Amino acid sequence: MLSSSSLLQFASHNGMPIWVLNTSIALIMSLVVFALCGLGVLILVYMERKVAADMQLRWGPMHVGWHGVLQLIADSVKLLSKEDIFPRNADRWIFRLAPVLVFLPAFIGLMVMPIGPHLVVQDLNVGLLYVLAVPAIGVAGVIMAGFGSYNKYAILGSLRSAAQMVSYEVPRALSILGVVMIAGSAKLTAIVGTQHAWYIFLQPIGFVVFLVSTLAETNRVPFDLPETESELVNGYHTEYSGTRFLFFLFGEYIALIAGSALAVVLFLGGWHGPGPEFLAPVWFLIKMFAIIYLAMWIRWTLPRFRIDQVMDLGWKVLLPLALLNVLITGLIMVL
Amino acid sequence: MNDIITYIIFFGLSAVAIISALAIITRRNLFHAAMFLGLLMLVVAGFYFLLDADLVGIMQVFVYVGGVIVVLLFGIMMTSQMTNVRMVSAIKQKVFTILAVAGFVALLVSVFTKVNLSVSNAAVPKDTTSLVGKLFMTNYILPFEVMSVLLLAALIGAIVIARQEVKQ
Repeated sequence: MLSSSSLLQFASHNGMPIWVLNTSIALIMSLVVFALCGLGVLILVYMERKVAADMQLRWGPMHVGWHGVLQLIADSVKLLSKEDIFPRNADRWIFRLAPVLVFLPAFIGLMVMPIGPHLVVQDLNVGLLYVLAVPAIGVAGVIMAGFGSYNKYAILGSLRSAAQMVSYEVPRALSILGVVMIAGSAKLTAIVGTQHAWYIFLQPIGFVVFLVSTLAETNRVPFDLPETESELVNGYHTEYSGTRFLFFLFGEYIALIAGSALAVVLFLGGWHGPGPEFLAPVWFLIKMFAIIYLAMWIRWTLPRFRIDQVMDLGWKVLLPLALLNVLITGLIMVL
Repeated sequence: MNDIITYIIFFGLSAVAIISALAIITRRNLFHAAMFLGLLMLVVAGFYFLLDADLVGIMQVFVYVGGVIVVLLFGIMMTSQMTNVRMVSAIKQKVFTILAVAGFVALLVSVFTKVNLSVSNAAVPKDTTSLVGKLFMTNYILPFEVMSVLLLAALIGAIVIARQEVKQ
């Protein structure tokens, strides 16, 4: 929490109870995070299109604004003003609730991410478990989207997505265990605080397993089986358009932001970097965008897996590797 | 002041819990019932957070909402009526249902009236996570290991059942 001494003094001076101060700070901070998320998603979509174009020797969006920077504003206005199409046989409530349930957990999961020494909305003791558990609720949203749409492609897509996300949760959580063992805490600020040598050097296997399973969790190529456009039209959001589709897009990109931020916090030294302390968030953002660029690079250079290959990789390669990593870390720490 | 807020949150959560629990059994649509079960699980996690048991609360979200509910929804979608959105559950055997429910309520009431709920005077521990971890590895190592063996057996059993190949 941000309640620094001057703020506490201000509160006690004006007869304001501590919980009012804390609640209002938390509310303001979550609004700020929400605004930053919106901005971040705009930047990410623009970046994705430019990176894709670069990989394929194209220009990408060029017409709206300087080098197409306003293209995304135009696209959002188009999506927001589109007609709200509702399939006739769709389950009314589930169809409407699904986009929210995909977006909201991903966004709430960001609340414990420390981007600077004191820049964190809510520093939980179980922060690490929180970032794993809360975004996992989004899987229910994906299943609801598939089920509520009354569409065979949507159902197949959401089944694949659920299977994939549940499977990769296991190696992902286990790959983090090594970091928790070294840091001795599940508090994200404590993990960054003890991280004078980046954990990527101490936990190389853990980092690779974490990165691959994060890509699978966020449904990105080569793991975008839920929305394979060549077989399933567009997977679980086939029936969605306009604002609801925008929510899915938001949810996906926020999940990518959260995954990269978590990789930075756990393995790349978080906000640590040369220079004075106020540069900490800048270092954090630079590292985060490096990971995001890596994810985009992978997306536009690798072909897609088959669904059985995805499952094989998760259970037969990543899970044993993560367990091995835990075992090695434990042995080294004991000896 | 803090007490009043705790009470407001507690009764709010309780209201949502009771409404969603009623909705689970009154909804005829299986998928909707499962969604309300998910809501109920979230509310229970809220109770844990209210009691400062952050580890138990987050585990409730992790295991029940992220795991059990998802698998439940998965199971509903995988059933033979997958293409039919309007799945219906019906109550047959009304007499036995009422008898069973009445017996269960009587059992609960007798338990609550007879058991003397004791409250510890000790201060609430600050960092429950490391405390729970230490207790699991020292005082409660045997139950912990027994549970892990049980889970391992369940895991192997699931694989054995899933592996059975159809004989031509």
